[in-house]
Amino acid sequence: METESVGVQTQGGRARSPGPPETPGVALSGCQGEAKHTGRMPESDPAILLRGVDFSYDGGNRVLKKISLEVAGGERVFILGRNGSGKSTLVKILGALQSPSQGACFICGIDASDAAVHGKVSVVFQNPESQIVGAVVEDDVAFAPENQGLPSPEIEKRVSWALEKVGLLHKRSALSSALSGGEKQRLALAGALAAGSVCLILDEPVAMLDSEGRVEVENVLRDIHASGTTIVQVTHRLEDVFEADRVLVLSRGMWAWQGRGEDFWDVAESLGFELPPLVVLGRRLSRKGVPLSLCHRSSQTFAQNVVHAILDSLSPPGQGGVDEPPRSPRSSEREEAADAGPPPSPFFEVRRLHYSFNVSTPLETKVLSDVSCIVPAGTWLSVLGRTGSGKSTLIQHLNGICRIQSGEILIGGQALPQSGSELRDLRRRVGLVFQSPEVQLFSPTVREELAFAPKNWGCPEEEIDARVERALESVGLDMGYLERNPLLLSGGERRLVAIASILSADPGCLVLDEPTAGLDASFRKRIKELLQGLRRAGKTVVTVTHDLDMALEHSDRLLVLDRGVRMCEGSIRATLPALLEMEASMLPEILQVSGMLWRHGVKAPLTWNVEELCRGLGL
Amino acid sequence: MAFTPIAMGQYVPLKSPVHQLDPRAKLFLLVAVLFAVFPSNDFPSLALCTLALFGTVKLARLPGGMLVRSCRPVLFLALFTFVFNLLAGWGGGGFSALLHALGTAFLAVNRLLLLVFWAVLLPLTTAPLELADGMEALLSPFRRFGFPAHECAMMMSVALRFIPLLTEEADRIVKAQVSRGARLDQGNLVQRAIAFFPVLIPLFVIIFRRAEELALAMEARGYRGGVGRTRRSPLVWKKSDTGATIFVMLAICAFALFRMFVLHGATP
Repeated sequence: METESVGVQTQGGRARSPGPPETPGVALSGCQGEAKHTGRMPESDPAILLRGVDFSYDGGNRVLKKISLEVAGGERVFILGRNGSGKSTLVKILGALQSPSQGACFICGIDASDAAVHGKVSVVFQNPESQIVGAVVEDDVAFAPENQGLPSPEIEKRVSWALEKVGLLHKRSALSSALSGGEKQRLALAGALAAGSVCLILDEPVAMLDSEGRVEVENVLRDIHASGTTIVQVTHRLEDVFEADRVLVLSRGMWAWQGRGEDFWDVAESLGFELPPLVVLGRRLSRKGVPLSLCHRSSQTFAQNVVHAILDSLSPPGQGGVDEPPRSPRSSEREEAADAGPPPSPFFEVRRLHYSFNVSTPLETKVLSDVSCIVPAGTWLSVLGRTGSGKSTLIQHLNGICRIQSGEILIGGQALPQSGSELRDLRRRVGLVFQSPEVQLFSPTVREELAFAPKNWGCPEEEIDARVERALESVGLDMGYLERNPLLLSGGERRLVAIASILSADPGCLVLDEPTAGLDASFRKRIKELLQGLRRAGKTVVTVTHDLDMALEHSDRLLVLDRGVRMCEGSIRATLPALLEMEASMLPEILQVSGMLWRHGVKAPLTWNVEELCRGLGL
Repeated sequence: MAFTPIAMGQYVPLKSPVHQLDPRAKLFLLVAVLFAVFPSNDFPSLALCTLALFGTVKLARLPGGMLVRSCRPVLFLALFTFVFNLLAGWGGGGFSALLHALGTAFLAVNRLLLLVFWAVLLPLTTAPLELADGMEALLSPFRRFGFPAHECAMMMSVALRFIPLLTEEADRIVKAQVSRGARLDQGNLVQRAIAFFPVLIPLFVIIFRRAEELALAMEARGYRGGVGRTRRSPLVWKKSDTGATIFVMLAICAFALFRMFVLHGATP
């Protein structure tokens, strides 16, 4: 049944050639000639075939246990699994970069140990930085076809074709280091296409991108898949399931579940996944008898369908469609607390801040212009905006790492010190956690790592141990970690240790740049709880984030920057309507839905919270 | 990302006669120019070399500020050389000794900067992979002695490609450690060296991890060393390359003769 439906789909896709364009007159040698025709390989030959694959790095510990998988040509398969489930190893085996300890792997009917498979299967990894070989875009795309020994005119054709496919043709002679994250991942995809691959293996290709980059890459992937390429994608994001022909859940090296994308939602919770809010809303609607299918090609179209379904169900006159100005988004206790009584004294007050890079050179770039904001003591401010909007520069001012060029910043009513011992004291009072802080770890043990900051600030020896233990406890790690080597911990644990290494100096304010980026759901949750705990303990928290869910759910105030200019600032409630001006794909799905309903004048609260929206809609 | 200051020796993609010159010619001519600049220690010779540098930069359409900026780390060294030469030459003598020392110090710095600027012109005007191709071609005669010409050239080009990335990472780690109270600018040399460990260790960890990831990514794209590899745009030696090479070599010879006969009064 399943293979049948896949077959129909692939045939439609193959109307266009999945491989690079045919180039009559150019003689092709060996495997490349075959690679060009694999798009029309016999239906009987699966694109990917794993049979009883076992893998172990040390001979004992089995990372993969008797894994079998058959992927038909043109299918789009998603593999879900937690950290440590064996996903990365599976990716290497599928990409013919690692031979299984036992079992066999065939790509388009070719054994993966044969060098010829590299013209058929390509892998794109998570980190866009470390898979680009060429300093110039077109040089990088040419790398794989050059390795295959193709003639120059053929390479040139493939480069142009692949760059056009990912929409980077206009940047072909740009420096690859000057591309945005999303563009770098598109470049990596172009490199894979230029190799002539008909199977793409993707290892969380959007995990390290901002929402804009993610949308870019997702669109390109949709397009690549539509032209017949087989895609196997490992992912953390449940929203991806909307795009899947088939979903497989990997757990401890074995398949825990496999089936069609739309069937996944019924079992997701029993497999330990938390349902995306949009799916929760969809199911409540279905239960109320609103006709709604969970079969959709993207979460975007699903969100639109949900809105239409709600509007249709409200259509009988008198039910909704009231044109009174919508009001009253969510009011929660923390906002009431923030609004009631005299406002707390500001911890930071930023006034008319300007900043430029490469001042007074032809390369001068404005980063911040005329930015003002207030951070009341004991509250949590989220700074939002696209990449390059000046968020990181703004927060690096707060502990004096960036010198003020023009404007002023007050801390506790005093001008922010810019030099001398007062500046050092400022850095102790305001802890700054950089993006992926885990890379700054350097000590042989966690204990020494956490003692680094208090020692630097001249904390008395006898106090240090207590501080180290308190800091470790506050990030939720037990004392067993003290003697462990920070470099050998998992990525999420390393980040917690890095945050603890700032907390051990006991700062009154913690400033974090993208604290949840690149973490899986369980560690994201731990970071959120940690920051909430700090705020409850009376600390001031400032985060720069792309995680709008976290910003809306947990922080008190928002500051939205766009190209260095303040778009809006204030309590969540006050800024919510302004947020809707942002591109819809960047907003949390529930806020998209609620925003669209709001615009249609439906009497429902403007909110990001699924429970509240359901209550408002009487579901 | 677009905001990062230019890293040392980072390629500037422009279209100019210097950019279009064959990398083999550029490598060869650079060596010749460095040989000409190195022995120059008088005002007229250095003035000529400086003029030639300005001419080449103009021809390469590089903004002068960009060249200086991309050599920023060396400017401190230049300043140090200047002060050192000045003090050593002066030795507490009179005004004329100071004047003389000033002259020597100026020449020393001028020569140092000329060498650096000429050398940095090569990576600024040549894409790393092209540079690697050129280097591989020039080194290939040594292959018969078992010298890994392709591998060396590929390593060079990958290293060049990683410079901007590592500059960025280093900058971030320095800021992060300073935020944790690290004092990188105090104490004697030993103390400073020790204070730099918190920067160096993470940087090395990053380099190792990146190297591992990149090696895997290269393998995934079918890289198996130089054997059987072709080029998107193979190096083609043009007439203009021959012309430019002959012209520069003649100019260097003229320069050498000028130094030998006019400045040093040698008689034929």
